[in-house]
Amino acid sequence: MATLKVENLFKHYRNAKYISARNISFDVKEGEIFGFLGINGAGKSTTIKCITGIIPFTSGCIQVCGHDIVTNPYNAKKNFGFVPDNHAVYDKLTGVEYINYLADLYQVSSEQRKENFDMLVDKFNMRNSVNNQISSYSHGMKQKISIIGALIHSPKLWILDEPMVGLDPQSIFEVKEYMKEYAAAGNSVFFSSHNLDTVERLCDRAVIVHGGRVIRDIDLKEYRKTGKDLEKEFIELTKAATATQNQMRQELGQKEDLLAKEYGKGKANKMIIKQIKDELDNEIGQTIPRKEEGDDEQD
Amino acid sequence: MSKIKKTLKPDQDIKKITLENVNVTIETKEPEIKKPSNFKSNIKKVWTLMKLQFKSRIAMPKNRDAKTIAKYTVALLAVLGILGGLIFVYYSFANQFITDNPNTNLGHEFLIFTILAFMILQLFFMIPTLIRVLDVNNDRELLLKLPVSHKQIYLSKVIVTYIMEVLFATVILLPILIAYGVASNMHWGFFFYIPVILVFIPVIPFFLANVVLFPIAKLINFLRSRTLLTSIGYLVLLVTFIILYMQIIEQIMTAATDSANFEATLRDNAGLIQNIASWFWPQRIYADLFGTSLQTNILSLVLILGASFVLLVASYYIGAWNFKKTYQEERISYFSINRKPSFKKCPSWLATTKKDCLNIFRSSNYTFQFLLIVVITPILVFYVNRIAMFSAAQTFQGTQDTYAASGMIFGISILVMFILLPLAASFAASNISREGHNLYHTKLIPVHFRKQLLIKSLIVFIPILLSIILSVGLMMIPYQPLAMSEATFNVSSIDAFWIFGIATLMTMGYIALGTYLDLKNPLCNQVGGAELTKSTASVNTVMVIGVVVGALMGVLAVFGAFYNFLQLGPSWIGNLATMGRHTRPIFASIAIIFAVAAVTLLLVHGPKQYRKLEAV
Repeated sequence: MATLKVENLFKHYRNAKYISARNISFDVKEGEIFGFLGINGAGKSTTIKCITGIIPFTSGCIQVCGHDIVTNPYNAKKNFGFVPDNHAVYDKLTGVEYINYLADLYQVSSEQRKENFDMLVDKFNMRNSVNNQISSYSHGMKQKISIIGALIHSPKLWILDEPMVGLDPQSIFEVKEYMKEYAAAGNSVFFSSHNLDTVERLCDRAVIVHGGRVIRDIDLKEYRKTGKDLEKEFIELTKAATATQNQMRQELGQKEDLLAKEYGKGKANKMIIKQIKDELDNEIGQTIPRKEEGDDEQD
Repeated sequence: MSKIKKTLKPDQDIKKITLENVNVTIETKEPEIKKPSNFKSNIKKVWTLMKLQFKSRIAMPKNRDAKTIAKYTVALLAVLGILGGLIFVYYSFANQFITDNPNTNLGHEFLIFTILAFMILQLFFMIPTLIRVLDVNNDRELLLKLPVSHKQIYLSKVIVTYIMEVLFATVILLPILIAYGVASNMHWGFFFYIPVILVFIPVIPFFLANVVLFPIAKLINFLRSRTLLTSIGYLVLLVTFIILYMQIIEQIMTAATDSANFEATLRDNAGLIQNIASWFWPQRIYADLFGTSLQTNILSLVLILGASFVLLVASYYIGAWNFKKTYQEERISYFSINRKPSFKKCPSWLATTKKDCLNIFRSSNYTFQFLLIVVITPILVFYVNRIAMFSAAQTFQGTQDTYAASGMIFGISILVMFILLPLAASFAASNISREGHNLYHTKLIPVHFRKQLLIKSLIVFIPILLSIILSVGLMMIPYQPLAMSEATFNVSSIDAFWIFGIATLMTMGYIALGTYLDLKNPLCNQVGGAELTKSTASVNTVMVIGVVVGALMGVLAVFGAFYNFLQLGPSWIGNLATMGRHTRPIFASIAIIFAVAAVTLLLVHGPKQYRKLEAV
């Protein structure tokens, strides 16, 4: 069974002149470490925010352990732990208070929470800092407490957005080792990264996204056998896609300028956005019912 | 720097010097860079750091549009208004102390008390300012990346702090001293010495602040982790302070109604007052600067200069030691909680409440401002009613009508409560912004966001509700303002019920409206304690609406009651007063409509706004 299933995901931000996620589909299986690659602005974070229920999406289906994030959000949320890229944690709480807060929300029993807490705190070398207020933590320590918080309820799926940023080499090693250990226990790890080397060596599968689309789905176990260079392939793929994308955006910009001369800047802007929405409607197709942004009952 | 050296080649006939018979060597010498002296370099660095400090503290807004100018003008006018009121009150008081009779003239003592009061005020403000100077999490880490030392950073910060205190003294004390000089017909020398006082008056508070700083910082750290203890401590301190303050105001108001009696009391106790003033000898030295004898003036000046030098040097060394020590101990002594972690499971609503409470009450700014308003409301309602009833009873002795006077209590209570309650309720307008970058947590956790909003709103609502209950309870206590008259004043139980209902509904409305406005336009890029009380557009909107509505309701209620009390005036006043008589059902209708509309707005449109939010 797939721990995470993303089907035909479309996401268009209100008043944006491009579509952030365009028919994205993939699944993450049990015991798999899955890499999510792409250049800045490719749509990685948007997709992750949709998966975790942080933002609503325009169309598509996301299931975590079989629970739909839109129709059954509580059960879906109970099955994953998320580590954001900005290391945001409640500064006024101590490490222990923060972990206990999350454990309470996920209704983790006292015994299991103590066991998980001790194991994770030792694993990430945080024993001496957990009683201090988080405001006194360094960048890396905040990232580690965020990781511990995400795993305190032993979720089936561990989602990380750029997890290695700001970590020292020792901590990076610890996180990578724990990812392997976690997946080996039958769980799944889904993470976005710019570090192709790490993804190539650590992951079982990976997808490369660009301009909101999946442009390559790679079985890395097989890929490694071929002796190909992932970095080289990534650069070639994204370079070509960027060139096409830039050309399209340039054309759109020129069209907007022409419209602006005729109708004014505000109206031209609206017309372009309408065109994007129409394109999106066509792409989604008549068979998939369109959901207006903000109408989904996700909470 | 290069130098060309020419020498003749050996064994050569020197008749004519040509290029061939001359050895040319170029001696290269490192250029001499004239290094500035160590002292000069230090001064330069400190000066640069000081400029940075000044810019960060008193930078003028870059955006000087009409709105910004209007904002600053209003703020300036408000400060000038407050200052004007302060000077007027001070001048009136000074006149009561100053007489022509040298035996009973307490002018000098009054000046000593003035200087003492100002020093206490300055000490009160200086301690948190210097704690911020010591705070490692402030800008110190950033500054230490530059080629500057701890000492240079410290020196720049304390010099700027001291200069700011001198400016503070100039703004507050200068007009007060001028008022004193005018009241006591001082000679021109008095005004000549004022700058000396302004420059050196911060010395004692500065020294004391440096001495008590480290223990206080430690105490704050200790209390920071003890939320309940800190909150109770805050409450007790606030209540004591406000009650004492209001008692003094009441006494002054009572005394002011009979100023001859007050002056007589002062003269009767002149010896005692002079004796008390003599204990405060450091303040006496400052006051002696304004004495009539030139010898005393000069002696005082020498003492002030000498003592200031010693105290400033001592302050510098104590402060520099504190500064370095806080840096070394930074993460060991600060914010640590030495408690065995507990892993007891609790329900999600309680966990959310706990987290929100810790988040709020560990921000001392938030706790202080919010609790201050909540606590001050019943106390102000109680005392303002008493003072008003005393004045009414004094003015209309023998004609007072208990019903009409009770009506006035209704109006005054509405006026005071309805202006203060929206200020407290406006804290709900930062319910979402307070999450800062952590907003994503609210979306990730398996707790319905309405439940989260309800908890956040209740944390604001429950203390306000308690404040309303206490205010209403205090209004019902009978008050007998005049000993000779048996007339007592209090609100009837029916009026108490009206006030409770209207206040509760209005508060609910303000909280719902504030939360909705914050959901619509949150300030989620802000994190940290100071920002919790940052004025956002939502907070300001709730405050402005609340204060305007509260003031209108209060004035109408007072006016209606006052007309009932007097039964005077032309017909248009009578029409307004008729409305005033019906304020209870009118206000209740407004409150019901407002509360229902605001809660509906939050419940119906809130979810949509929430889903649009993203903070990661």
